[in-house]
Amino acid sequence: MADEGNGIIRLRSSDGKVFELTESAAEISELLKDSPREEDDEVTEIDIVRVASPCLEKVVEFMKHYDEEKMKEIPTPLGGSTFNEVMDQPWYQDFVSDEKMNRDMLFNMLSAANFLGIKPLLDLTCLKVTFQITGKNAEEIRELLRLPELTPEEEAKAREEHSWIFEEA
Amino acid sequence: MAPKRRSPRNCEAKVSKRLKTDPNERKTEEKTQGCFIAEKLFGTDVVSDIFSFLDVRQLLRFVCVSKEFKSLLTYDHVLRATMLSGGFPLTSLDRIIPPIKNRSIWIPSPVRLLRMVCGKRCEECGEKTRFVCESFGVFLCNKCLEKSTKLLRRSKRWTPYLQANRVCLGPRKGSTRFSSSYLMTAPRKDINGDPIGPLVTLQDIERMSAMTKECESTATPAKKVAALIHTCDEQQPQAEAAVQSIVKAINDNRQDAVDRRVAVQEEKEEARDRYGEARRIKSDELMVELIKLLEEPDEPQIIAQINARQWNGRQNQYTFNEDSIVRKLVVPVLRAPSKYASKKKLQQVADELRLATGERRLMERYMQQIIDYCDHPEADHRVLRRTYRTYGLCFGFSNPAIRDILKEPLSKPRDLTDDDVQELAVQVKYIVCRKEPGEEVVEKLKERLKDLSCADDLGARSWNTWNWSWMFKEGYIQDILYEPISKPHDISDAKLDSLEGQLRPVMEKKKLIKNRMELLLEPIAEPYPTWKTRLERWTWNAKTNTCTFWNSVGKKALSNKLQNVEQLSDSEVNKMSNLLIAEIQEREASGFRF
Repeated sequence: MADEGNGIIRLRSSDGKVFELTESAAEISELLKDSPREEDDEVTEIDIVRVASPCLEKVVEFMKHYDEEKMKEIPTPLGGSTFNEVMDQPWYQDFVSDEKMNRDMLFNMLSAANFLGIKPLLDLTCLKVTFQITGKNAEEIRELLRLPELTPEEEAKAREEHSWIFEEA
Repeated sequence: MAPKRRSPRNCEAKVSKRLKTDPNERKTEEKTQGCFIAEKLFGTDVVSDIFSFLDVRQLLRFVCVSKEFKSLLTYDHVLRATMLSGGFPLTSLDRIIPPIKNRSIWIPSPVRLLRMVCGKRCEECGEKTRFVCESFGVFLCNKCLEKSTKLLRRSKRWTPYLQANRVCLGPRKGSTRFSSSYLMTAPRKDINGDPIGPLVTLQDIERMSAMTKECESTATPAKKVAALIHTCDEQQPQAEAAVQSIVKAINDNRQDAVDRRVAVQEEKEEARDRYGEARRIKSDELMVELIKLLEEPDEPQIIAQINARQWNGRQNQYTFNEDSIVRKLVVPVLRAPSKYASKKKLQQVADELRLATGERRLMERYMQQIIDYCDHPEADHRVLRRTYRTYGLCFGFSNPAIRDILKEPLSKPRDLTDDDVQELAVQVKYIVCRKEPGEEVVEKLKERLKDLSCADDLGARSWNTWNWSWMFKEGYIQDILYEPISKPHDISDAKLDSLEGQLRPVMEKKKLIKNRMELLLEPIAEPYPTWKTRLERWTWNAKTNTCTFWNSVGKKALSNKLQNVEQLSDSEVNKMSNLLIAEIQEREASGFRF
């Protein structure tokens, strides 16, 4: 039987690519922690059919780093007015920076974090999304989230319903 | 050994119900450009996480983007965000909670509650307004509130209804200092048709009252109101649970809100201190530069005043004890050092300081010349009493006549020549030395009018050191003599005749009036000697030809009746005396004693 935390877990993405990480690094994921495995197995392989390989690669990167450097819990209310003020750990700042992660990837990560039950990653990506939303009006948020555009009738109704939100009369 | 592959069986449970589970459908969607990102968020804890990070106003904007977000919003999200944000949203929340707890209004949904704490526009007309109306749980501006509410005066008919539990009464405006007996006139609905505002309205009460009259119903008003409220409660079965979750959310977040406010306050203070320190350092650097600019040629007085500045830690800025030119011109630099950071700007300040200081010295010199010319012991401290005003960088004079002569020319001292100063000095001396000549004129007039008993009124005068002129106790003399007596040197014999001509008829009239007034008070003398003494104090207004008693009894008994007194007949005077006596008797009967 593999020692507690020393086993290897292989995650297979929806497109068949395999990523390895230690059991201790995988502990962070509720899903992986709870997944059943044989006692005498040194290597456990799990299919993550909902996550594609580019996203799963980043998730595994996060899990491995988290195993070495824990992410501080994000306080609410947020202790700053910018992302970098709230998240003061450089690696995590860099991990979700605009240069390294585009919007699609961010939302995929968010979805994957939720799916795998990785709370710190979920918090980190939610925080990033929060700062992307902050300061934007309803139209910009809709665009950011790629919500379908409203028809003129729908827009008129929404304006009537929410006239009190709009700054201009 | 080959690794075993397992599919996580509990994955599906974790996935949102709204996520498309059909693999084919999913694949097609993922291929589509611009896939519906928001769907990845719906129905998951993700939205809740994002809600908890958002500021209250941003939360409202975010929630209103989609119906799914709205459905995920809970009271806890709203209350936590509001309580942590403080400001207007918290004030609005504090106002809306009492009627919710009392359940006198329709319990708002989380979205409506969020809308009410963040609202900026009236629900009715869209005009900008600030606060939710605490009494009625609606977001109306004062105008719409006035239209939608009515004052119901307490009476036998209405009071039993108004006293019933959960009837929403309140002030019409957003303040408790207004009458609190207003009722919403009619039931209200929001744009989706859901009832909002008070459960019981004026319309309901009028209907219930009419029912009692028509049907001779035996049900009491309280029971009728209770029945109506019961019907309302049936329409909102979730209300009790909603109120409980609101109360729970308030209790859960109270401590966090307090901590947050303390933290924000501390943060603000720290930022203020940091900002103050930075400003202090920058100001000091600028002052060193400024002093360098003032050293050539040397301006020791200005430099000394600049160095005398003191740091006020409470206000985080430099202050000066003395009101001076330096204070006027240097304080703006100290308050906004970055604005004056360029050498050019600083040079401008130095030049202005030199110019203003130089002008002030010149003004002082000219003033000394004028004082010397006047050669009057009280000239400097009384007549020419002045202060240097940094507001206009000029002298301000307390004496109006002196102000008229000196203020304008002295504000531009560089334009003045020695001859101009000499001319000003002559004009000033004319004012300074007008006391004795003025007195002579009055005495001459008194001599000319000595045949009239009222000539003594000319003696009732005093020298006003503020205006530096004679003031007469009697208004009619003041009106005639004040202007001419302020220029006594110009009064010739002809002018004196003219003044006598003006005074004589008025004094003769006053003599007649005095006689009539003595006649009026004669019947009072014996029974009420003290009252007579009091009533002997009266004044005569020559312009309106009206006499007014100082005493309130005289004022009350004969108000508006003492006009053209000199024309009153004996019988009229007698009647007035009787009126006075009646008033005195009434006053004494009420227990009044001197």
